Amino acid sequence: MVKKGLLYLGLIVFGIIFSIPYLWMFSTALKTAAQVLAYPIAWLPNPIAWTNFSEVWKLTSFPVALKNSCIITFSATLGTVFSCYTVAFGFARLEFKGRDFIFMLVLATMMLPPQVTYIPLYIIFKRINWINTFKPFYVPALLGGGTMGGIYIFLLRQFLLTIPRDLEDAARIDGCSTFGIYWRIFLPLCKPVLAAIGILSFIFNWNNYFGPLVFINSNDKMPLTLVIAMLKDQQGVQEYNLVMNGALLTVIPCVLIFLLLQKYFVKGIIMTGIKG
Amino acid sequence: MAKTNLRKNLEGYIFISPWIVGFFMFIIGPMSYALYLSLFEWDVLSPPKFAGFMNYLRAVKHYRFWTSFKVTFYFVFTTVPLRVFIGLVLALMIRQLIKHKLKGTVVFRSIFCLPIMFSGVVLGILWAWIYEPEYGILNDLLRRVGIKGPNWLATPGLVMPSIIAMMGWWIGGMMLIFLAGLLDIPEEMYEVAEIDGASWWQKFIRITIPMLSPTLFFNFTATLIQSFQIFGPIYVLTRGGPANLSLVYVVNLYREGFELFHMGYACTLAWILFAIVIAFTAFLFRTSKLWVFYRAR
Repeated sequence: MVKKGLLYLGLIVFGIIFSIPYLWMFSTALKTAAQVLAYPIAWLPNPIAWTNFSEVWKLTSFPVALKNSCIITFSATLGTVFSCYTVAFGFARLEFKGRDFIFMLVLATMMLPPQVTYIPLYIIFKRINWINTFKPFYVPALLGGGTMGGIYIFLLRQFLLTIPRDLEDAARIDGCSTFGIYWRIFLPLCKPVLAAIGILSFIFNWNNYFGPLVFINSNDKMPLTLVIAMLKDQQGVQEYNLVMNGALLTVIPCVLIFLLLQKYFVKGIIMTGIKG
Repeated sequence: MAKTNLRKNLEGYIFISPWIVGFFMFIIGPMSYALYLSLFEWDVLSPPKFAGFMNYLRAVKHYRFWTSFKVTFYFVFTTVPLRVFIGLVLALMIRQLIKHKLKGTVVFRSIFCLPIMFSGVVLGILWAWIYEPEYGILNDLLRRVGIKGPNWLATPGLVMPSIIAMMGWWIGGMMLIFLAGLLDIPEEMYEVAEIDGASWWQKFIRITIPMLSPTLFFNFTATLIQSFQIFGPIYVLTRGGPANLSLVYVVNLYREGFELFHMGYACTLAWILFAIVIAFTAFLFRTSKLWVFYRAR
């Protein structure tokens, strides 16, 4: 009994400590400018400034940034999921010379700091006019999943390896081609794994800062991460309610995904950690 | 109808071809180019000047390089153990909830995992606001108990601890992985130990830690690699200041390449980072044989 009480006590204490930052963010996001500077600090906004949302909307040309974030995120995520599945299928179910060696290379890329490639990529992309487009984001995604591809390919391969060979053999006896097996038989079986990878990829791309910072330099192509960072720099302390509001808006999609699809997200994270 | 080897090879390579193309275009290509550029001085506007190993010498002599080195090492070797520790403690607590079928698992898991939904930018922005000397909540809480809180991000001795504390909040992923590893430990092991009269400490040291060691290894290594590359939160929070006291390696790299336009030198810095990450990863893998225990397959 005592142990149970202590456990909950510990969890509640940690819970409060962990919650304070985002409760503070939420509270500030709904404050009026006057309340932000209130002294002593008001913990709850009063009145609740719902208009902050529309102010931030206009101030940051939010719709444009939102559109950009969506384009980058959806194109990169779809590209990643499709490409990683294809490649993983190759590694898991097909036999070809050099397969295991190349797979080791895939694993090795997981250790590569992306920044090592970004400087030369910037120069290369500049030459071929990819700077300030979204190509630096979805093209690498389509070609092996981009910087995070190694992990996803590894996960998918491990999962695909667990599917019994009998299924494949039966399909081949019925005259199914390799492509048919890849597309019509194994793909539906992978749905939960693909969902988890899709979620992880979505969050990574939605929150990507360094990439857009390097490859995008005009305001009309900036995604939310860049716009929010700029907002913070431009606004003084007295406008921090707007900055927090903007930040709140940018995290809503990922937070929603987490709260609603927690099952898949947790599964995805677990799969990256557990030895296959 | 048996497939010829050629047919099999062709099929296999067709399927993995996206990755191979991507590998050459976006990894091998740029990295080789970066290695090549690291031998030049180039400010993008004028043609590159060959400089041989000058860039590498320059790195060794440049004070900002060593500062960023020191700061990054300080950052990595404090945040990694801290985050591993916090993640483990929280995971242990939540495991207890699950084991004893108590209520609140989803709630608490959500509370601790929510921060990782925030981008690095939002993390920096939020904590800049928390640390705000006049209007931030930290100093407000201190004020209420009569302490005058300092300017956390502008005081030399407090900048890094403030950043480290911020990173301690960002541990959701680590916790989930630990939780999964913990739940994987067979219950029977604990039951047998209890029959033999083991205390909770003995159970922890003799069962939990060894069985968890692959997960520990993974978390430690992954976070280490990630921490060497940290950029977003710190760039937004302090830009590397004050006086370069929070100048982590990649912030310096970014500054040299994209603010000062020392492209060749930035490539040098990038390759040095790569070498360091490889060295540490290799070291961790080598020493893992000493303390990581894999269950017999």
